[in-house]
Amino acid sequence: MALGLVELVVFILVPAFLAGVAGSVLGIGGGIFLVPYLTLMPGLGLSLQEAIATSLIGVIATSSGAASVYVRDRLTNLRLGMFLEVATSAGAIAGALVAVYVNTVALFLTFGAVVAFAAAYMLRTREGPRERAELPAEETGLARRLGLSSVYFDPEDGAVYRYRVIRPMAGFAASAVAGGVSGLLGVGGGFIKVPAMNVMMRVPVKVAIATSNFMIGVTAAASALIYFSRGLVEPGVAAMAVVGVFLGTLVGTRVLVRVPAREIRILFAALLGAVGIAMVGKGLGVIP
Amino acid sequence: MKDFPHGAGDYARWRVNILRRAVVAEVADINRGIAHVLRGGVLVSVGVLLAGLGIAAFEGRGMPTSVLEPQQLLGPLSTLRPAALLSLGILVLILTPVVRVALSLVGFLRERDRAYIGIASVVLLNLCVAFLVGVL
Repeated sequence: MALGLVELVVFILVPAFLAGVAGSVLGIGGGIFLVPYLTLMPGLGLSLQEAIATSLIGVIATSSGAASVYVRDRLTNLRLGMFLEVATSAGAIAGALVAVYVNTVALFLTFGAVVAFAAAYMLRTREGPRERAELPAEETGLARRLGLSSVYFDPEDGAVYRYRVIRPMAGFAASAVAGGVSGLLGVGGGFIKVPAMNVMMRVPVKVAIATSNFMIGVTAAASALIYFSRGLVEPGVAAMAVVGVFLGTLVGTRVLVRVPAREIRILFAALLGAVGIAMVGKGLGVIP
Repeated sequence: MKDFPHGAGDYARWRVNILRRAVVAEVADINRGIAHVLRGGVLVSVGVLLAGLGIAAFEGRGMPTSVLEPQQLLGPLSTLRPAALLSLGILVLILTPVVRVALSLVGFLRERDRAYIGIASVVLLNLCVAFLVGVL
């Protein structure tokens, strides 16, 4: 089916713009919104595989567009990102390979529970200027050797915060899971990485979001290349999605640095809650 | 004293700028080029895609319905076919993160940072494996 320019602008550009804003503010690729939208929207006529392929292109655009700003502003922890990318990329390959054998009901129910737990945890812990200024006392050997701890400037209160990264291997394991999910479901996996970095590794939430955003491009690129060479990318839809997402990241990256960390955490917890409910619903067969 | 701010609003802005610059200076910028590569890749991709969308709309024959394989790109590209432009733009975008990882590896090599040379190599290797898994 060939869509005209006007239809593309209305049905793709606007939702892609919103996905770009949400993706850059929450550190996710936006695939969690784009895949359901592209498959459920009548009139687009995309199969699930085509929707995933097109969404992956949008995810790369979100990641690269937002990451270029966050890397420039030194919000992204490049070393932490590279370190965890080892786990996400390996996990993505494993996920893509075992996708056929996995019991999806158990998978969705497990993830629903994990995500709901992370949501509750993010709502419960506080991250005001005082909590950020309080450094965790211990820095394990590996985190020190890899030089993971860093410093960032937060325009929210115009202050510089030094943070220490702890439990690098726990974050590594969580990232491998995030990569696996991304290989299985065709999403970026930011909804696992951000809480993992923030809650387990004690990375400030904005740094966690910027770093997650930075990593998602690599994970999505691997799978996108596969879908692209199989001819599953719908060029008109993907092109308009990229333009929309790009415009969205221009807005979203300005929002993230200014909004208080507390509000971002609440927003993220709301996202996790919605994802958890949707996954449990999918697992139980309530949602198609 | 030319730079010194007058008034509360000016002072706040001056302080924020100083702090921001201090952080930028402190975080060792091994990967100075990364932000440029990411932005450049996205801008080139968006530009090519907009040209493709524009030409397709101008010709009024509807959007192309499938992407071209990389080998097929060169011919139609010289005649500015929308299908070729859209495929090229998407390909540039997909390869942007891959180039970014390769560039990080070069940065770590230059720094002789052994741990991160290993880490970046494994990520690049994983990307290659993922690609091979998909093709085979």
